Amino acid sequence: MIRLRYIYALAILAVLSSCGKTEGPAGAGSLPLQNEASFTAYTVRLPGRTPEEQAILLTQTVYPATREDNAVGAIILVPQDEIIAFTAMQSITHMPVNAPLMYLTKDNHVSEATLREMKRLKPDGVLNDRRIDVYAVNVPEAEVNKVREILGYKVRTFYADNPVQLAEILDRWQGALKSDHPDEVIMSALDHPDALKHGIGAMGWNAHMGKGFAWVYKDSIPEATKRILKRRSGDHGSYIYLTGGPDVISDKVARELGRYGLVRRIFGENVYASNTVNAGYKDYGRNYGWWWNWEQRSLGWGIAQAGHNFIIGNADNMLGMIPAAVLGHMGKHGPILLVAQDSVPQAVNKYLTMVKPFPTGPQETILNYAWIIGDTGTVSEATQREVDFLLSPFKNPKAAKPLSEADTLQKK
Amino acid sequence: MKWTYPVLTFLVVLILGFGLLNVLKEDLEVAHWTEKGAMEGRMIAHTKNVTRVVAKNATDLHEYLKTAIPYEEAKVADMAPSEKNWQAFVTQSIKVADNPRHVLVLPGGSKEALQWALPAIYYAFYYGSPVLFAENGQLTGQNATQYRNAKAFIVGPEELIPSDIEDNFEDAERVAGKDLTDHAIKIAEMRDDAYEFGWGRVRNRRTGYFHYVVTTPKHALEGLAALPYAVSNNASLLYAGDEGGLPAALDRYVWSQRTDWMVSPSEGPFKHFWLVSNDVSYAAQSRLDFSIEKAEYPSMGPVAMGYMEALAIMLIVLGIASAIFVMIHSTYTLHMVHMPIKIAWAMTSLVLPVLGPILYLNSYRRPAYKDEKGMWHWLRPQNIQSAAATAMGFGYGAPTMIAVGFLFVWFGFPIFFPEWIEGPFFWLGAGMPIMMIAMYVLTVLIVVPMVQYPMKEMMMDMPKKKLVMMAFKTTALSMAAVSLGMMTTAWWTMMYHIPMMPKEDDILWFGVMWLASFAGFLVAWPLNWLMIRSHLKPGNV
Repeated sequence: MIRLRYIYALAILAVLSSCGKTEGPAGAGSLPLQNEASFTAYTVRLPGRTPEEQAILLTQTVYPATREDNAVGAIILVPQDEIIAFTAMQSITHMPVNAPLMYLTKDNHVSEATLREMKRLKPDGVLNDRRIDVYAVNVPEAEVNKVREILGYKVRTFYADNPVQLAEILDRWQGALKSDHPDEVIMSALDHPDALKHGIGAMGWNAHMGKGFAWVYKDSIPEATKRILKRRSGDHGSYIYLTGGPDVISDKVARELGRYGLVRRIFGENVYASNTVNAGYKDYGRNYGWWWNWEQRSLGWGIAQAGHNFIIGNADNMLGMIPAAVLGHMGKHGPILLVAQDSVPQAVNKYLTMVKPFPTGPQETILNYAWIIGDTGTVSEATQREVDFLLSPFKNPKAAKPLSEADTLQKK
Repeated sequence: MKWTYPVLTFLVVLILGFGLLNVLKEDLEVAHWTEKGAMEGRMIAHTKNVTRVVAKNATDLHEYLKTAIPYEEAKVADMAPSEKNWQAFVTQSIKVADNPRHVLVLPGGSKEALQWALPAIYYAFYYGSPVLFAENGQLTGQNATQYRNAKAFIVGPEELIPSDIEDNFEDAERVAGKDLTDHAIKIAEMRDDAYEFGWGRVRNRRTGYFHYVVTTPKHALEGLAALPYAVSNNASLLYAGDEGGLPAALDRYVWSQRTDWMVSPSEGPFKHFWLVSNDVSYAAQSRLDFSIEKAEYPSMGPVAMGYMEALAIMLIVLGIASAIFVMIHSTYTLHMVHMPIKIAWAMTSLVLPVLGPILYLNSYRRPAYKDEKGMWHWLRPQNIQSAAATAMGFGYGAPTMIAVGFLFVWFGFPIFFPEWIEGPFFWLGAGMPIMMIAMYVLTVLIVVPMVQYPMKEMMMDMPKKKLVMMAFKTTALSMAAVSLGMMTTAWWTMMYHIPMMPKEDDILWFGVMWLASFAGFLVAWPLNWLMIRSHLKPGNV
């Protein structure tokens, strides 16, 4: 009998110990950038000073990594190249991969800080792809080996001579991963200086929903892109979404793309407006149908009312904004909007005014929220405050003093 | 009996048992990685659903929020709250509504009184409730008599506000939890519509964008300094534990606040915590963060339980119970039935809950006879013969297919995407089809030598070569039929019905496989009817 009691006691102890424990050290403290991570009622700043640091702040915000389910599926590692990062984020981030993007240093090395963060993130490995932990896009082989050897992670490498080819490789990989080529394809112009700025909002949608992506030139369509489009099997072939107006991707290209499917444009009169249009954009309808089964197409956030999250950053900080799309993939989700360092452009002002919430009851509250990407040199405090006001349900902000003077906080 | 039957059964049960235990283990675990470096290298404390309001003290926070929340509507008293002036701070901060439907009686004086009063102060500030303080058994503050006819909510335990205070009002109701955590949750959940008191943030309120200020009783004063959030963000106040963790009641409550999405996770509502205590651990913060992460309706994400997951659990538990019943029942009542057949029925029942035992009972509660070789046969109609024949193949085949599938999801799908494979056959390099093909092929290759050939050898009198061919053909055909139902259902459920493909540690993966097996049996049954009719399979053993 005594033995049985011991056995029962041991069994109970085993069950209890498997429950784990909730506590570790206190969570707040003198973290190096906490002072700069200023918050208001409706905004929180992620104050990255460099693209590499910005990427780390983003992964730390999105993935607490205290357990498998709030850690990453994998990590995207890319050089500090806007075009490469933009292409990778479009195709890799979304489920089932669940991967934030991290940068190499400017001289193409994995820095100590990034390596440590990659270790902290503890990728679960992508079920649909041999439990791959890291997707390294155009990363030098020596750095890939470093990740393999130091962290013991499984790495899949993608190498391409040019972004068009990279998009094509990633499209093939995505098809194998999802057993499908998504029929909706977003397109940006590779040879236009503002193409990324026009297309970053749509890129955010892709990071959120994982549709297709391909590059075009302003006046021509690369062969690799034609191959991507031919793989689509919707009733009209592909559903193509051009990011930017005719000055970015010409009407001639739009007409030619019509051979491969239905063509739409997501654009405004400037880069700010292109992204507010993207935030409100929704295209849905036929994709394909066969007798008893059918599938609709659906692209765009379609946000035209209060109750949403926005990712807000400087149009001149593309390297910082590209990894920020991960905030549209987890947490409160939501589209990317661009502002200037010291002002909220008219298009953004109008859009946020349209989606401004209003006071409601305690049980049906509607609130907006935004992430401010970058330090105050990238997005000023005044801009943050202006955004806060636009997101609020209130009309009369009367600040006693600027946020910068509220410096007693967080000096623990 | 050949060793192959129990060995295969053991391996299948081991793999599936491991998988199900792994699901259980991961659902039970709280934060086992926390002490292994999850906080290492962090540069800021905010996470996506929790803003860490790191302040030195209440004065600091009060000063900062004047600027951070500059809206007139959310403005509090100009002086910073302290242990001495907190009642005055509350009174000066609240702008009493024009026609308040209630009056709040709060405990006054000590820090303990503030702790009990704080959750109601948040609502009072939001609504504009008139507030009276009860100190040393007496009402203080505003003139109590003017509220005599209003509904009074007495907030706090009797030790702080004696019951005779209630005599000052025509209608009084006490609101007090059994401890501070419970008390705060009570005020967050309660709603008296007639008298407009309480946040009403209950589990099934799926549409509200609820924000919460979370503090610890020790940092109640800092919680009071964060009062502007009650108006700017309609935030109600919750208490974490002083030791920095989440008390069980709070943990339950925050999980009940997780919202689901049906079209896209960008749909609202979104919830948020403002964490106002430096003592709350990173583990607790990350759990708060995780608890309100939006999840798809069917599963509600890992750890939480969605409606489809509940159905999956019921299906699997019923399957296990069915298998145990059949195994015990056949062991004690059907001595004349060979063990491999009993195992087949038990394994069939495992993935065919309820229907398995019904077919089993229907097959054996019939007249039987013993043939010249000593083998027992039961007189069954052809439909039941077909069901029995299906069960003999399905019982070993379907669980083996699930086990093979589990190994694939555990180790990850191999994928191939060379340029030459692109075109109509690109899917041959895709993970899901590879897994499905492997599930079928490997299962046939395992089951034929280990089960079907020995079983046919036991039941049918044929030359060995012919027996091998027949075992292979009937198994391949029968498993093809099972696969047709199984794979179609699994594909449709995983790709179209469940927004996120479940992983190996998700009960939905097992649930889908169980459901798919059920469909597989229904497809294989008519095929076996034909095989019984053609004497390719026996159906009366």
